[in-house]
Amino acid sequence: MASIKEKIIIVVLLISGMLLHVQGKNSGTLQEQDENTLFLTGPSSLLVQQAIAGPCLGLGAESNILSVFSVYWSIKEKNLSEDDQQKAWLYLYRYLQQAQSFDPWYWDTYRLTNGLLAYQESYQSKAVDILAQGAKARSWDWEMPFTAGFLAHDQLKDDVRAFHLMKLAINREGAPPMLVGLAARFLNKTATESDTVDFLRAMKKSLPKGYTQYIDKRIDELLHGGF
Amino acid sequence: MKNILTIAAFTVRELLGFRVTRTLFAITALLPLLAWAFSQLFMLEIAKVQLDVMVGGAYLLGVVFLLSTVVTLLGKDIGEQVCYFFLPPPIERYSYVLGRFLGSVVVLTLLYTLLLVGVELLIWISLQYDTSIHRHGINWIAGIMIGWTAWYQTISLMGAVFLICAWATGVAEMLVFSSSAAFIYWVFPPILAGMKGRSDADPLVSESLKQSLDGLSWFFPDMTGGSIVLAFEHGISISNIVIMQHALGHLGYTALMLGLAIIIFSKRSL
Amino acid sequence: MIRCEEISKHYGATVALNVLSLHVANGEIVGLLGINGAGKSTLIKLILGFLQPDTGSVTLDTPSVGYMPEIASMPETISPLAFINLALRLRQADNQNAAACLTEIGLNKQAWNKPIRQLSKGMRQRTALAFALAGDSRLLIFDEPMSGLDALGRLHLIDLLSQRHQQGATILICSHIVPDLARLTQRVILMGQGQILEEFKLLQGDSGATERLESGLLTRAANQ
Repeated sequence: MASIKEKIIIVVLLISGMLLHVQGKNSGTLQEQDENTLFLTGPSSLLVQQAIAGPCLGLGAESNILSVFSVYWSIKEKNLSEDDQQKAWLYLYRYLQQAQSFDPWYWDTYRLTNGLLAYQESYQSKAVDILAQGAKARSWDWEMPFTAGFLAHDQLKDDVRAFHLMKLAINREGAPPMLVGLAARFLNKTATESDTVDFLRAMKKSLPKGYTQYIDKRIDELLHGGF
Repeated sequence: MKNILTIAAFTVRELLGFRVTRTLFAITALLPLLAWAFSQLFMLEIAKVQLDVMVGGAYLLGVVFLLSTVVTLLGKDIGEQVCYFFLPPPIERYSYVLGRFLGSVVVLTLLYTLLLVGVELLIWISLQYDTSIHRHGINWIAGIMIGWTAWYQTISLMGAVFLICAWATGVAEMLVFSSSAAFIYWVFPPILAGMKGRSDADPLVSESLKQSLDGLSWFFPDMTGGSIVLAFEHGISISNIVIMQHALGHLGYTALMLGLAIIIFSKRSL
Repeated sequence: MIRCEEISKHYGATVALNVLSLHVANGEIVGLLGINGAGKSTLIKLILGFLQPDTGSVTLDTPSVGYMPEIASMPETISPLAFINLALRLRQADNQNAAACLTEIGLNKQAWNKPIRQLSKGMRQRTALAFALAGDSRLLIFDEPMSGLDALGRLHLIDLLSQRHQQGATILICSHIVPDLARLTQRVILMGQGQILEEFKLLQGDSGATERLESGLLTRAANQ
């Protein structure tokens, strides 16, 4: 049994703990900080992550995807400074890259690359790189190389690269016949705005609502700002 | 042989009586629920995420089983001299080691069989209710592969744990060294593979470093089971030769560890 | 049955056994007596092969040994019945019944199917004794078998061991309880500092045996 002295010490500790906890929760400065600062340190190196994941490669990819969600939430919901915004996009790119290193076949990685990274000015080329590598890994998938080709054409204006990627898509098993015509129209620059918008809308369908703002913006540009 | 089987059967009864073993069985039974809940955080390949959680669960359960159950058993046997009951003549020490090992393998197999039931249940639900996007490449073989590869890798580690326990004295020492081995087996093979990948790509890296990395990797079992499972989860076929090589590699490693364990245990003072 | 030829055993700088020779003939019942650290348990472990001698050799002329260790840590999650079944199978005595072994040793029937961890010290001791006795091994070795037993249990055990001896078993028993050794054994070996200090031959119904052994223990062993 604890002595009276010990009981007093325990009660004092409990009360001080509660007071500190309440004080911490109501601290205005902390709250403001939380709203405006990027509380992210960025991904640890791939080697460290591989060491932690061990044989659980799939979970390694998924933990990076969860970090992508978290970074994207910060970008969307917090009033980040310009510097922090840039840092956040860099982190997001690295998380996607590392998710791909863990699991090169995982479609969520490519959907997020396509939905988020592909519309950031300094990351368009990097997004196409990730998708092109994904197209190589997902050898059964015609959609991935075609999407990569479309982005190379639409965002990078690199039709040579777009041609190679779209050609890869067309030759894949299960590619719909209309793909040939669509690819030709994009690359001959005879595609209309509505072709592009239709394709973007099709891509949008496989993304959850919270992750379509950049595709929506691009559609908006095409519909109201010209091709 | 009869003595080995007798000790193995007794070990199974003994291990199944451990509260920690029963807890592990309960966790294994609940793992599909955890996998389902976790997968709801993701967007497309939901079924693959569920299987990934089961893969992680399989490896972690294997390690926890070894450290909490097998090490405790051997620690009590050797540290608290329970083995004195098993080892008077006519029982040979190798019969004791092999019997204990075989019994532990049987309990691990039961644990993984339960896990496999959960995996196949998740796969069946996915095939019934998910769209083809959410379950691309998923089939019942992926489930079998999860159990198969995790089983082999855990058996290899079990061989190493037996080697450690054959040499160490007392539960504390066995636990520290076995935990270290589990940690090293988990962490080092991917690092070695990563370093080797870099050294292969870099012509400036000396030949001796490449050879050292190759040599070092011989001390570890083949921990590429995760890659095999991942490929199966995406419907990518892996040649039977690769799978058999993986299995034989692990069996060889386990036999080596167990052989060393028998040699050391036969010579040690009890 | 047991031949120990000039065996020595050291633990670091400590001498546990010092060039000791011991022969136990078939059908003999021999007691080991000595203060703590005399080397009795080390000798038993060497006979059973749990330890290797630094020098000398140990030979056993028996296919199986029934042994009860001093501190009986047992598989805690197993019932006494399952534990005795293990002993019977290991000693190829499948024709014997585990229940009969437990009845013989006087373990309460209610305890037979309980996990060993739930048993009292005395019950555990009885279970360990039953394990040693199961399978009718020709050689029985006991290290402090009386500790933890009540007076009735001790008398019962002495009776049981005498029966086994009459049936032809060779018994080596190590105990601190001098009257029990005096009542049970034919020969008592007094050990000290890893050596045999003195051997006492005891006759059946030897009324002065206890006194002789105690005085030997006091004069020879206590001076070590």
